[in-house]
Amino acid sequence: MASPVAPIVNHRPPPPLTTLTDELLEEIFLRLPTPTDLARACTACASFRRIITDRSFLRRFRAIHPPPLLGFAAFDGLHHAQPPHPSAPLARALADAADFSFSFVPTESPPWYPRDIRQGRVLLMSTPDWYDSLDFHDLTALPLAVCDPLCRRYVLLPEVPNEITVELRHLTDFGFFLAPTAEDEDDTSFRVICTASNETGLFAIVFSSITAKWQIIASSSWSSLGTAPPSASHGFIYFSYAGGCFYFTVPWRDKLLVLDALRMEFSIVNKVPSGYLTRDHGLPSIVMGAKGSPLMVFFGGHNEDGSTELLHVFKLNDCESSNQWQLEKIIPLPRQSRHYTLGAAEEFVFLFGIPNDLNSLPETEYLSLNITTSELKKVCGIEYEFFGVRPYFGFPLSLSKPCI
Amino acid sequence: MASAGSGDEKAAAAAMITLISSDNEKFEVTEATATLSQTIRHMIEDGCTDGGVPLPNVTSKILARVIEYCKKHATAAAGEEGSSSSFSDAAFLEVDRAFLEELEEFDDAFLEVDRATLFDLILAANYLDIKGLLNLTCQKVADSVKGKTPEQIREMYNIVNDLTPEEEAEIRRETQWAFE
Repeated sequence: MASPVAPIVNHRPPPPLTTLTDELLEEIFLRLPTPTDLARACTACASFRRIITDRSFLRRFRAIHPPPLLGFAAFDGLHHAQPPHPSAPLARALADAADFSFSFVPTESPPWYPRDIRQGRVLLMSTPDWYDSLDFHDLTALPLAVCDPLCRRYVLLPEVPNEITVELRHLTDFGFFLAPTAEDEDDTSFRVICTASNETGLFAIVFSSITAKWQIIASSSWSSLGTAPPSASHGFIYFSYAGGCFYFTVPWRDKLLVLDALRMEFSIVNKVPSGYLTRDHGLPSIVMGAKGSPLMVFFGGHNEDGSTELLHVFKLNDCESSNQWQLEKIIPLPRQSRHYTLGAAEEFVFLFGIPNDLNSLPETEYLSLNITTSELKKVCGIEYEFFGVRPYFGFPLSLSKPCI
Repeated sequence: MASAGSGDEKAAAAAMITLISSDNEKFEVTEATATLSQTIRHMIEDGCTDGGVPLPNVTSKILARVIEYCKKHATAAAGEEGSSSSFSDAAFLEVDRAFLEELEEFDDAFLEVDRATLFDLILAANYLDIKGLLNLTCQKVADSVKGKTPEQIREMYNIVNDLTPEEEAEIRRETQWAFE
């Protein structure tokens, strides 16, 4: 082995960091660990600010450092993360800057309800999610909008054209979602997916902001999915989004329906642990595990003392053809409260906890559970109980660009 | 490059390249060491390395350092190839782990330089397109900026605050959350 080179002794004064090219300063800023460090560097001088607030830089930074959870959107506004949650200062800044009452989006039938949130965009509908018995007449006259509550931009969606509802006939079981924007796509363009079914099969009707049109993008007949049409009284219930896929419960107990939103394909997952449909503690959730395989999380089983505060985490077998789910781990939760699952995003499952002693807390605690680390954190307290949450992940205004 | 007829495989494996610094100092390195640099790899592929590779942007002091880094990491890369193809024993994993630790220690010691040298290494890593070295040196600067206030960053890196008081006040207002 070569002998080490003698340390270079240098008496030059330290050169200013600005002697490096913009390209190299970008490489350095990309390696800052938190948005806080980025915001501070941004305040040092004009060229740092120019580089850091550039759209392509912020896009690269977001890809390496996923935006943190800042709060939950609901019909009555944003419930932002509160101290001691680590995102609390950022969340406060978001709450001050953004309009989560959506008053900037015009409507003939107020108010707007947030129905889906992804990558800073909010899908708005004029009906809340507890009113989903839309039939095919409603679909063509349904007010829909997509907005960016931070930059106060919006797009009102055109109605789903009659040709589509005539062609597909007797649609039911509607779901409305924001499609994930892939990394190589323009980050101001978006797609809205409307899923629906009829006696022949399942459909995904998609609005693209680029074409400004609705189109039927995916369809699968019941026979191609290997199932019979479900009976009219049992629909599909959307319950989770993870890794580019939307997951729905189906009327058949040990199956799941999946819409892969990147490939725009429906598929059925078989041999799902049938206990997942027990709703005593809320709907099941799907999260992406550390190794990129989907994990299914739901309350199940009983402790020796009869308590049920046990979250079961199942992993889809590596050998996908077998479609078997394996128990990965069990996460016990504090026994002082009764917990309900509210949904999932990124590596988190969201829960609320109602204390067994109702006098001990004036409000319901909303919690995030990191499935990889099993870390349970309080996000905020809310005076009432939502049986589903729409988590908002993002950066504050100074480190964000309009996403519409 | 090996002399015709010798059939000496070792000579072929240890094909040497001459690198010439901006102050005209010559460095003989193996092809395996030199090709950690994508820039030099492309020159070798294009057959433009006869008579040495002039590197007018890199001084001999910095080039010596860069070569030191490449030698160490070229050995590491060769070791990794060997272990992934044929060894899976716990004993070999143990060797791998020890080697990775040694590499980490090497990198830490390698970064014990003044800022002027660190910047020269960043510029050289960028010019020579050595991904690992660029990552290592940029991370070192980022780590030194982490947790610092704008005033501390300016002082540490000799940066003139060219923001007008109005601009600065505006950014401070927008990024108040970062100072709580």
